[in-house]
Amino acid sequence: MHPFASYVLRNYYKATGWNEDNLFTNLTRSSDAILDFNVPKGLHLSISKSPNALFKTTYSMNAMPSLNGSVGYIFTSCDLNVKNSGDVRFKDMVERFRVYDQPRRPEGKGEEWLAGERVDTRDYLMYGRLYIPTGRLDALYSTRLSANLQGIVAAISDPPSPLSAQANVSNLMLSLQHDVGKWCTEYTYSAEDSMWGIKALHNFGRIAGSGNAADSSQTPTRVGLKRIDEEDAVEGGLRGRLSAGAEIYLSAKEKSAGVSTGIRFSTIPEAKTPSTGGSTSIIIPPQPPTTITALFNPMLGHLSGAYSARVSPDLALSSRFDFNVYSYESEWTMGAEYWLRRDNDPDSELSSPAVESSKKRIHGVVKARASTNNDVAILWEGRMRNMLISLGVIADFSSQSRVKPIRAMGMELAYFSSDDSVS
Amino acid sequence: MPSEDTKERIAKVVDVTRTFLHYAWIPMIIYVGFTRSNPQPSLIKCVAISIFSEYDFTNYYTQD
Repeated sequence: MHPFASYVLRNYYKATGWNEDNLFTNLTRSSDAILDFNVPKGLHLSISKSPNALFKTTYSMNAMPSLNGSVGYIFTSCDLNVKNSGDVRFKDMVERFRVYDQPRRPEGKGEEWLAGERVDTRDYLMYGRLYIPTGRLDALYSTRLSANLQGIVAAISDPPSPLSAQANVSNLMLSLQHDVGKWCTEYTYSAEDSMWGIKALHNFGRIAGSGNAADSSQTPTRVGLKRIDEEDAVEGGLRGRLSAGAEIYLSAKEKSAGVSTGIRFSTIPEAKTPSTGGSTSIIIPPQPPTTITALFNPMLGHLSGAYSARVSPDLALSSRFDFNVYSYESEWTMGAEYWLRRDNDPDSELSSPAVESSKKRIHGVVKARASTNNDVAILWEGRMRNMLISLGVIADFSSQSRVKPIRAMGMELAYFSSDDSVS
Repeated sequence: MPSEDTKERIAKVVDVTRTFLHYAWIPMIIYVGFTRSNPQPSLIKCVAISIFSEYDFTNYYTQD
């Protein structure tokens, strides 16, 4: 999907209270954001506009290697404030490393009554994008069927023509997501190869909002006798939560199946100091936000382990090792994400240096990755005046391409604005 | 098992539906977007919006 459309979709999920992190598809999202970022190839321009809170238009043009463009429209049933590219929070626009808190059971909209009639409507989002020279259509329809159920219909359609009837890329994908906080399942169907899929993710431990805050405040004050074989808690280590999931695919047309499983450990974001009534309270030392994932596909024999951590407020590092147990092929990828901050205005009134450093505005991010098989890629994303800019380069330093190490480079310019005067 | 005739008919219906949705999806989004937003622009402005994306909407709020 186009970056602006992905941004609107993320906003829509946030506005309707849908937790994307609880899907098995997004298990490795944190490490993918650092290691699998997209480098633009050629020149991309994109202008988007939000005439009101419900309707958005987006136009894009790619100038190199070949000239093509696309026109897209998005309509949502709920108000979305996407702001302008000049003043949107920069971190919201970039796919980045982040840790999510314990998932909670999604809540519905609640009933709205007006003059004795029920007037709340189902939330939905409609998206369509038409590529100009080829006539290809990308479409997405997402609707919240109930508090815990969301349905998505996505389609790619080539213009029907008698000549290319065989080479049609058309496909229709249906997806039903059921999220209850503790676990989340997704049922998918893809029409092109009649593939049915089931994915499930289970979160161990307490889920948020289950009313156990009082219990957690009791444990620090518990002083008493220990059992003879009870050991003291080991100091150090990471406090976090564990999630495990699996997916199964069955293709009726090609009579094949696929299975894969995964597990993720993720630290909990810094908890706010609990307002307990107890006299003692544990001083919780800060820990770097960390995500550790492992994936295993027994059919293809593919093992993958990744470790990502934010080691300082502006730097996140990630490392991933892929291994195939049948062919013994392996790949090691390392990546980093570094946020650039600009100095404050000289005439600001902040006095203490600590407050000043936290108020420095983020004006860009630099992402880099290096891999044993592939290439070295560097990407800079920033904001200049009111536009968002991405500059990236992919280089190949292997001996085969010593003559031309630069494989690809590109630039992407994006501008969007919203016209709604409603706050 | 449906007969060959029925399968052919279903395939034809699916193809016609796909062609119809391919050409009608984006006009449907534009139609829904303009009929459900406040204020409602007139049809001429509907067409103009889809061509010129930078059309200024602020004059709607002064119309009265």
